[in-house]
Amino acid sequence: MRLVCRIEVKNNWVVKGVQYEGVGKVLALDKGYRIPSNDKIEEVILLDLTRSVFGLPPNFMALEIVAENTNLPITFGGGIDSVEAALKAFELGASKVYLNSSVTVNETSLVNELVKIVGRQAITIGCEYRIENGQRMCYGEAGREPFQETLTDRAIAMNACGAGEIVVSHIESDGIEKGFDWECLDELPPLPIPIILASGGSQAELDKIQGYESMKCEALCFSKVFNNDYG
Amino acid sequence: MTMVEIVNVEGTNRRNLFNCLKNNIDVDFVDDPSSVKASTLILPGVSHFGHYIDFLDAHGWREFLLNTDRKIIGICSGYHALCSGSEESPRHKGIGLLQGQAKLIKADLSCTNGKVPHVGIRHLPKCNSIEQGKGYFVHSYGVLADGIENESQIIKIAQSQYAVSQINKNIIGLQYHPELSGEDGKHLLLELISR
Repeated sequence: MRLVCRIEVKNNWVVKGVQYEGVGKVLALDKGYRIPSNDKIEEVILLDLTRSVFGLPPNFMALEIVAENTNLPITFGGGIDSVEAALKAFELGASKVYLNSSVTVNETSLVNELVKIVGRQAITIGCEYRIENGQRMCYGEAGREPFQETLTDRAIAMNACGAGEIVVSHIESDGIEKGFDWECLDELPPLPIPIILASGGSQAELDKIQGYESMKCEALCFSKVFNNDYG
Repeated sequence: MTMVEIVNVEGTNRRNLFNCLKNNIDVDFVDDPSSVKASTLILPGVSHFGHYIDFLDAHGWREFLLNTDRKIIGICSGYHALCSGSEESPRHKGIGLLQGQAKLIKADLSCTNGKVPHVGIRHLPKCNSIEQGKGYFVHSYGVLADGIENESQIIKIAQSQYAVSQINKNIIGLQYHPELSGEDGKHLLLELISR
């Protein structure tokens, strides 16, 4: 089971919110920043959730700082809405880009274009959902904008349009460390691309990560629990 | 003399390579063959095969690579570019300095490591020139081990055996990304450059 560390940033701060709201500062993102010191981490997802909400360009400064001091792969996202922005992310040290608000079931042109330049393995798609009337419904703009798409429909469409992997995030589990929404995996059909399960990961789940090999995902993404691992 | 130059292919993760090496050796980027100064060149990874070959041909790299005795290290799509071709873009011809053609890995959901893209850290076996270790993979295409006579490391991905490295004299191809594989990968890359 691949272990992924999600680092959330806002401007030049590492932050963490609860259910995509009310971000609190964790530590300054300056030249001396180092990712959490856990040698089991295989990848980093670096996100500035505020970018798409306010229509701001991606937080490239944060990417440069994090990439400068790590030799782990970085998936970078938050506000990437064009081929140019994605290519700049690769130029500055991203190995993959994370797209959410800019891609819907009915609007996949950005993925279609990027596949031709960087290949599908470099494209990660967010499936950020709330549970409404028993259905997992996906959102853009950091949980503000409903896509009117179910998790299943979005996952199927993203595989079909050329995504290399999907990150499945339950918005209401975010930041509360009560455990992942494992049941969402039962809702998804078998997909040939990797699935990363994110949001809500607890310390207990992190401690027994290798015990989840039989689950229907290839990676687990933790965020808040790693805040204890800054030196 | 600059020890290493990274060929500046658009859409690749060339910055990761630079960041990985910058504290240990003299490293720079290079756009075209007439500017090469280094004894080792790296073709970085992460890019569509057709896009990659178009870049190399547009900048005159094909002829240079076919005739150079400098050390060339191709990583991921850079490795594929050094092979004869790739199913990712069949109309583009590879440089042909390494054996085989990159083929689309067929997902096999019944086995571990059976999804495509094949992503994550894998154990790497020893071969004559490379010690065993760990490498980070992120790719949808790979070079099947069958028929590869060059020295290589072979691992199983989705029920088939793939040559995840190849060495032919001064030409080295790596399917995995040493620059994204933590300290183990950095050590390997520095060792390959310095030998």
